Amino acid sequence: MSKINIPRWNHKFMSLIENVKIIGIRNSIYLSYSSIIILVLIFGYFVSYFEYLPFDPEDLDLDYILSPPLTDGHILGTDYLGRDTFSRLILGIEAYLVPSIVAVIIAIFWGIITAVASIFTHKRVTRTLSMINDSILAMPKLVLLFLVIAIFDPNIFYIMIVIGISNIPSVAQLLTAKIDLLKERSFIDSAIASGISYHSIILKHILWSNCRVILFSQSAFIMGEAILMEASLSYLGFGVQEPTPSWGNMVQSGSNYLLQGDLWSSTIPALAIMLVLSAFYLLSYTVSRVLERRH
Amino acid sequence: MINIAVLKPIASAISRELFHSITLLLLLSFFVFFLLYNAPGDEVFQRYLESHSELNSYDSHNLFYIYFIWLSACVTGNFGTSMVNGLPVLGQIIENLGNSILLIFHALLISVPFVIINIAMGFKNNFKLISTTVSVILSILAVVPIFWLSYVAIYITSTRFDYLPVGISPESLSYLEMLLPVALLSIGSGVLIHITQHTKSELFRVLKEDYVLYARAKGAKVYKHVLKEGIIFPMLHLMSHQVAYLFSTCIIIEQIFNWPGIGRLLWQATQDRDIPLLLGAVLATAFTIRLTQFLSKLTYIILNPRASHE
Amino acid sequence: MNEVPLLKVSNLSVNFYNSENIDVVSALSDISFSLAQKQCLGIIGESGSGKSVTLLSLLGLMNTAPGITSGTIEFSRDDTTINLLENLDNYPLHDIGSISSIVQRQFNRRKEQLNKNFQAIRGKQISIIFQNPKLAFNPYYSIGHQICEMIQLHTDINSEEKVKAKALSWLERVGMDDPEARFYNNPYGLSGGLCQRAMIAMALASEPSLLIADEPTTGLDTILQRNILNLLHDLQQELSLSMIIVSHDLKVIQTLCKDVLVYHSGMIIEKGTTKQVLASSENKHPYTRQLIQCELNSVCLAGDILIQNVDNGGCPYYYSCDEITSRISKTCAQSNPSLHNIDDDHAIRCWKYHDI
Repeated sequence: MSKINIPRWNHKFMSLIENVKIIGIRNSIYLSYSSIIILVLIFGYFVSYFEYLPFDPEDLDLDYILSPPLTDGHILGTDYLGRDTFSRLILGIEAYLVPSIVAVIIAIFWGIITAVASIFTHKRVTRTLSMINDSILAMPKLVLLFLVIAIFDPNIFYIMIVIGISNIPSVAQLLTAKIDLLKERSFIDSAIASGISYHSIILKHILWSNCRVILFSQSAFIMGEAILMEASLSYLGFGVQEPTPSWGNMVQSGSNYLLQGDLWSSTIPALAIMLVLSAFYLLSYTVSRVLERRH
Repeated sequence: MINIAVLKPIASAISRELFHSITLLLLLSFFVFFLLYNAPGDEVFQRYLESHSELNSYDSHNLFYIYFIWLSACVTGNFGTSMVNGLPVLGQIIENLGNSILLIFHALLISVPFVIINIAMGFKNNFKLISTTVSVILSILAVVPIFWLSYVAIYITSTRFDYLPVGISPESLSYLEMLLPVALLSIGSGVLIHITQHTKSELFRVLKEDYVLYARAKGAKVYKHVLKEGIIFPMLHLMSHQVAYLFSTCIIIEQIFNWPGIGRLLWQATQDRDIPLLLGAVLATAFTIRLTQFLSKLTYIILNPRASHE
Repeated sequence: MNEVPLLKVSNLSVNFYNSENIDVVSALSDISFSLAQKQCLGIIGESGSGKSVTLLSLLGLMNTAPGITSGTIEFSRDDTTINLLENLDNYPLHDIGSISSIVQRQFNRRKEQLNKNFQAIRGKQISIIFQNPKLAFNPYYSIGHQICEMIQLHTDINSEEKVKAKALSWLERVGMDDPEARFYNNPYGLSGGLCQRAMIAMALASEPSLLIADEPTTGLDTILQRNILNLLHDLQQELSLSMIIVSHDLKVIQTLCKDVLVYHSGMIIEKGTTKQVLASSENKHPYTRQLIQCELNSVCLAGDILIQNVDNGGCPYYYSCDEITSRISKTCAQSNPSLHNIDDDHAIRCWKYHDI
């Protein structure tokens, strides 16, 4: 058997093949898959932003209802009204990409504040914060979203704010657990004692060097979850309304026809959701595995 | 084995948990009420007050005052009447809640033998491949959106196996009819695979502990020692956390299978903007979830001698 | 001396691969010793010299690949001798640098074979006491439950009351203050001394022929150390046990053990009776001399004792040795001496005592 000489991570720039050897084949495949899909997603977002689509997504073409892919220039087929699936798919990216990023930012930001506040303040504050966290965790996300939709508008930004808020407790709990471990190593106390400013301790020593793995992987995870929530809501009819396309919307409109045998109209957006979701989840999983091993 | 010395810390831990849960529910109910109070415009909140039999006469806009009266009404069971069909909310909720709990309970129940068999197979050298393949397939099925997967499952079972579980009522129920929704609920929501992965990693962590080495040195069977901390506790802990997520997925499943459960009630109420029904359903859901978490914490305290000492 | 020894270890070698299967660390090389009935053997050496590895291999508990690579362990009881490492060669080891999953699979097969071999021995004939008693007990069961489990597994007593009575009698014998109440206590609630006694009770409850103690008194306070030592001494006389005691406290070895082995970087560098090795006599390995001086004077004359010379093939103690004369200096650097018998039962691995 040949000896595999695995290089160590040093701080210089390493070639791709050396990186692959360190991370391992399986993780590299996951990471490349995730990055390709995310890049395609971002590219598609810009394409839809500039409306550079092959077909007008609202163009009804009643000669070609529910056609499978590759008929007459429709790369992915058409839906029950004859609209081109591919263009609607690209346009549907707009419905969730930016709002999901908003949700992630809210969750991470407030999660950090909650975790850090519960470490550095009085015990009563910690208990109150953990009580609030527990109460958010006791509510299913979709149920909370229904409440907000019924009382307020079904506006996508409200929805994403609620998704962000409902993910704060999980981020906060992970961060608190990690910071508690650090606390046990008297790391924080010695840093305070040697006069480093609180600002610098929190940002540099705790968050960036120790918690960044959690933050990265959690952002990817929450992004995936936000996309799934938006798709589910559109499927149930509460998110983006017709005729604006959203991937959940498209699955719903094709679902009745699925039971009759015309499966392309519903399957293609579902597969798209699956690819994007799996990309984010794999990214979160692989990042946490690869970067944790480094220590 | 039952000692007074052992009972006292358990009792105090249980009462602490009870207090915690009640405070949590109060906090949640206040938050929900607060949301309603802040609805845009005056109409929404006003209409809600008018449709509620006890809050009818209150026109004041003092939040806490109305909240306490509303809370006392809720505790006595009066959640108001639905705006759509005028029936009392509580009655509708209770029927449907039982049906949802049936689904969720069975979804969690089938995960137990599944996880144990999967892990046990993972240890035997001959069966490792089967265990890994099954895990991979389930992970893929968990990422596929459940609203599409259910349709495909219905399509396959109805055309191949002549089995159409749509439109069944929970009163006249057999386990075979419940199979498809329950399987989809546990697999499609990703709960099954999550519990499997988490339990496996906890098991591996426990296997490295010193007392397991000592158990092997004693000649004792390892699984007896590892069962409590490595399998039962993590599964209990994770299941109590996943109940909330299962409720979310249950909404979609009930929609597809036309199952009269609280998910469908929630959807209907949101569709019609029926605020009393929605509020009652949301609170009932939160209450059920919190109850489940409390019960699992209770079991944990009783089984784990260390938990009551902290 | 014409009795069959209870335990005879010949040429035991244990290796570890490091995490990427590139380097081999030799934890034990060519260990041979024998233990008679009712004999008490001590093992001393610095941390990392392979003492705990020896004990774990005697029970077949090594968890790191590849584990035991060669040698035999013969255990005799009632006129039957079994080799505890038989059939291990059915699963030969791969070279280093092989794909880790293949190595792991082979290691798993070897581990299964070892488990099969050792099944009749663990707990029943050989019991082990670990250093940290609180970590060794299962925190989720009471100590009474765990002692009862030991009794039920390895003796013929069947009825529950008899098992419980036996467990209580053992607890009394090791000197617990209130056996009835302690029976139901969980391990984390007990102090270190009580836990250690409970562990001794658990280890002896199955009436083994050999008791192995891995640093039984390290981590306890002085009075407690003396108490546990006395307890072990009394139990050894009463039950006519054989014992192997690992310690880096020389007082323990001097109190309890008649024979002693000195370890350094995975090899036995001196073996003999306690009087010959530890008491002040002329012939001693330089390392043993350093150990004794450090222990007795609390002034160490040599440098860092821990530097091991394992890669060059020379004597492992070469870098720290301060008794190298010019006559043997080249030999010390290049070749590893073998154990050389000075007296009847005193052997030293040092070029000074070889006639070159």
